[in-house]
Amino acid sequence: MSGLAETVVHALTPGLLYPTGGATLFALGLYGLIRRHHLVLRILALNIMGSGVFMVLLGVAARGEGPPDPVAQALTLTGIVVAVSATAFALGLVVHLTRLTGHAVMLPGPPDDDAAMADTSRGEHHADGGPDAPPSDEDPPS
Amino acid sequence: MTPADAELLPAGIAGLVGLSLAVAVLATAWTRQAHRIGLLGALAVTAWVLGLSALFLNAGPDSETAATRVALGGWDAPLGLMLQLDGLSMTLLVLTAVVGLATSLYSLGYVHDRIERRQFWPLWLWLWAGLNMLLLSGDAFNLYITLEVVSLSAVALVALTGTAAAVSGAMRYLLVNILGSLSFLMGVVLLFGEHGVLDLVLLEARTEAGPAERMAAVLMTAGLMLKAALFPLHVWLAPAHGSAPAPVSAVLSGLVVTGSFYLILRLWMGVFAPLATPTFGILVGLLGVGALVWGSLQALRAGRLKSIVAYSTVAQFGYLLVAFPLMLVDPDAWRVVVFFAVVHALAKASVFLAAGTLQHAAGHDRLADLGDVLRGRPRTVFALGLAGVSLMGLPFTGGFIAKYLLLEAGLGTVLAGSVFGVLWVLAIAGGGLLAAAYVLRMVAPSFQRGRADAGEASSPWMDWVPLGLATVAALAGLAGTLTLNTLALTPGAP
Repeated sequence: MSGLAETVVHALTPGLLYPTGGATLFALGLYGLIRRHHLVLRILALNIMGSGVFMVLLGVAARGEGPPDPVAQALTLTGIVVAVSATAFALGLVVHLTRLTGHAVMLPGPPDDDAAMADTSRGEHHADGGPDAPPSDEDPPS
Repeated sequence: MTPADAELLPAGIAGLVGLSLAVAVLATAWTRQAHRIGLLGALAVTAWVLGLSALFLNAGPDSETAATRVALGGWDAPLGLMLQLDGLSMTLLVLTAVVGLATSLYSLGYVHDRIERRQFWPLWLWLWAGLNMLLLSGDAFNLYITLEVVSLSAVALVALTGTAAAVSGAMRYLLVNILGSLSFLMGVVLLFGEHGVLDLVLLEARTEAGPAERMAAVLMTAGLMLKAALFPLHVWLAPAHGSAPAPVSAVLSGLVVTGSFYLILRLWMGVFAPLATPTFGILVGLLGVGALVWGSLQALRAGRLKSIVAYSTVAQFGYLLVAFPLMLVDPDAWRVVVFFAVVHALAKASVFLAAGTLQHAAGHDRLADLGDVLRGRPRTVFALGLAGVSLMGLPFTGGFIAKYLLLEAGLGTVLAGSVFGVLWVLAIAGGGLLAAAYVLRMVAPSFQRGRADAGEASSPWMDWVPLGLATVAALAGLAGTLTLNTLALTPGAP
């Protein structure tokens, strides 16, 4: 038991901990992005992926002897600024879409493959009835 | 080159970034006059790019030396951000300027609503500035930033009309773009962790075929393929490009997608060059064949004019993928690929602009009910057909030269003894046939007997700009040698 704990502690040196943790977060976020339908959850999933990238970057900064690499930290800060603005923009779109359709999910599929369908500039049709395929459990009716 | 030229060129490069950013900022700050600022800015940026290209070609013969590199603020790499200009970025800058100017002129007529005008112009100018920076940037992290500038403004432009379909398409586009950017960034981080530099030239000198490079190559290429809608990561393209306003679709299909492709090409010719193996090339080529077949079939069964055009982008980008294995056999083929991308961007932008005029005239773009307007607007249909002919690759158009050269490279592969070479040749030739089928599908109703009706009146810009741009696309074949020679001025390329 103590042998296992020792191995774990040994593996968790910062040099390995941060990249491994970052890669795990990246993968978790990707899974969430694919599996979830609610748009806020999807945006959260993208943010988790972003945190994973930054974690790897900070791990890179702390590697080696001496003080951490300031360039990597500056890159992380810039990356966070970009992520915050992208998230704000995405949330704005979600609010707008929810006002139009009553649901925070995307309309199903391309609306255009069928000649018989109404043209997309009359998108208000969807505003009355919501999307054709109601989303699964993640979107309880409000 | 004269000493004066040598001093002017770096100033011209930095000035282009400054000018396009200044125009964008000005239009954002003063939205009431955004369309005037936008028009003047578009003219100024285009003139600047043309001047820069003259300067660049004048400095021509020393192509063997490094590309012109500018250290911003006097900080040299590895700490500073470098801008770099070579034949590849110069060609695409000119392409961006031509399509950008045409789109700006078209938008004068298309975006007439006062509120919409205030929203459209600043976003479009930011998109243009982002593209210019993307093409000039020589630093991996800075490339990520420019990618984000381009994609955020592109998403906002898709959402511009504010209908549920447009906002939903924009949302899908945004999620895809952020995912692609994060994947790209993860690759950048891995490269930085391995080598400690971000500058592309320094990275290129240090990379070998190690595990970190492989991982980075997979992540960055996948991210960019997602953004460029390369098969099989293309599903988001048709809803986003199809539901956007016409000038936006033209820019997205013509320039934004090409920008991501430029980055893939740049990376694989430089940093990832040691990783390219024949097996990898064949894999990419097979994806390209898939894109050609699938995209063309979707274009053949789509019911809306703009969907047909959007799916044809997926199909035409298949050619760019098919070209990868050709480049491994004949390294010189990359110039043909870029020329093809240039001709495609010109033709695709004019098709989208013409489709926008028809949609405006008819009030919808359902192909089944479009016959009257198609018969009533011969000028626009001619533009559609002319650009379509270039997409198909009929003789005397730019598309013909591009496909001919591509086919020649493909036959070279067959002669070199590759079994897959036959498949590439068949794909290149067959793709042209499929393109002919869906282009004819678009213009066929205008040859049938029936009522002719010009539909709702539109501004002369919307009539003439698609025709002008289609003419440029058709005549691009005449500039073929010039383009290929300019592209040869890319140092480090095979």
